[in-house]
Amino acid sequence: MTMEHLVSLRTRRTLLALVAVPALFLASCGSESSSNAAGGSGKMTVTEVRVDVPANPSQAAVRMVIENGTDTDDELMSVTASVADGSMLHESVIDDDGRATMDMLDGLPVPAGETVTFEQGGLHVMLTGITDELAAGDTFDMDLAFAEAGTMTVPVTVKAGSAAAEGDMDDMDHESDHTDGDDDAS
Amino acid sequence: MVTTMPAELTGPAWSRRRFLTAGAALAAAGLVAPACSLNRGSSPNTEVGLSDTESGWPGGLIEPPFPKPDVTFADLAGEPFPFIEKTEGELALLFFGYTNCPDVCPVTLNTLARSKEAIGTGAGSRPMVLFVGTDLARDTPESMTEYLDNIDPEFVGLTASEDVIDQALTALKLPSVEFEEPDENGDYLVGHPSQVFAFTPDNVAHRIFTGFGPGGMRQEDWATVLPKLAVGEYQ
Repeated sequence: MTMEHLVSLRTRRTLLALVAVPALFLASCGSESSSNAAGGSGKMTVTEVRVDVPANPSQAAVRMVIENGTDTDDELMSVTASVADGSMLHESVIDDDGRATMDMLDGLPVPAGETVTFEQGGLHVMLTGITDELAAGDTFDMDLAFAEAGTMTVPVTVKAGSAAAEGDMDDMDHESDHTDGDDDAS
Repeated sequence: MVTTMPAELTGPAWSRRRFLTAGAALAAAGLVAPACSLNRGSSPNTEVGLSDTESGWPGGLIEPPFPKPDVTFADLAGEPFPFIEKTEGELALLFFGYTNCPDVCPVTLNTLARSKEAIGTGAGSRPMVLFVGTDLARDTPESMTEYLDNIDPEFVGLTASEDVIDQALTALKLPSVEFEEPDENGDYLVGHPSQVFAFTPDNVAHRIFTGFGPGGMRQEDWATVLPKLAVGEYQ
């Protein structure tokens, strides 16, 4: 069965409306972590670098916010972390049938003056073959190789994805509304 | 054979809209805003309004509701898990994924886990969350147990043969599982349904959700709908 014969005209119009609505959210987006994108910091900054305690300990998805404060278009070419054998830039996508999959990116453009935000269900660095145990509160280094800005090393913070990952089910933090905007799907 | 075509009935075209259009709409929303943080003050689910009522419910309304797939999975102890019997009268959330999924599956499941924490006690605080591992080679009872223990030990892990998984997906009109080519390390990606089916205590699915991404369920969305679904409210 294909989408076409199931989708009435009214539904098609609604689907178009639904595609348009997210554009409203694009208009209000911007990096929460940087105080001033206009004018720029003059450099490439990477912030909010974090990973949830992985459910499968051998691999994990790292997310961050990359702000290109320079006036030169740039591209993130590769990422490496000593805790992992492999790393790939991925973007999660949902296909037309509702199937979740991932696109591997050869490089991630970060245009001048732009901020690229990695978020759940979107961009992430997939680390594979992780040999260290990653517990909530740990940090490890990750190297980011930019075409123009060069290589920079950033610390990755390991965060608990849920109370179970904190290892302490009795002490539930009901303040876990993540006001820092990191972990909730957004 | 459970599969009927519940959408082949009378009623306005709008209410006959298949959940697949909800999936496509969610997909369209996801593709439009891939690398941008949504304004956290917004409620994309209610504003996108996939439901055909004006109730502001997130996700899609399945009208008429879907019956449960009449299949028997295996639990992580290797015991048969006949789905209809084991979820009888429960609020049961069904999700298909795999343990080598770095983003979508942990996010979907962790968000559900945190929602349970936020709800705390009372209606909707203990839904049956059923995670079916679709990657037989790597979703072993051991790896599934470790995976779910890192998220919420109460979550129910299920496995099954490819045939049984296909049967369940077909009955639920969900997309099939697609295995991609292995890389030089033998690792491979698995394309799996992004949807979460919500079976209410009346033993049918009135609601379907996407567990992640723009338009997907956030912790606060689950915390709102689960107490309602637990008492049979779905719109």
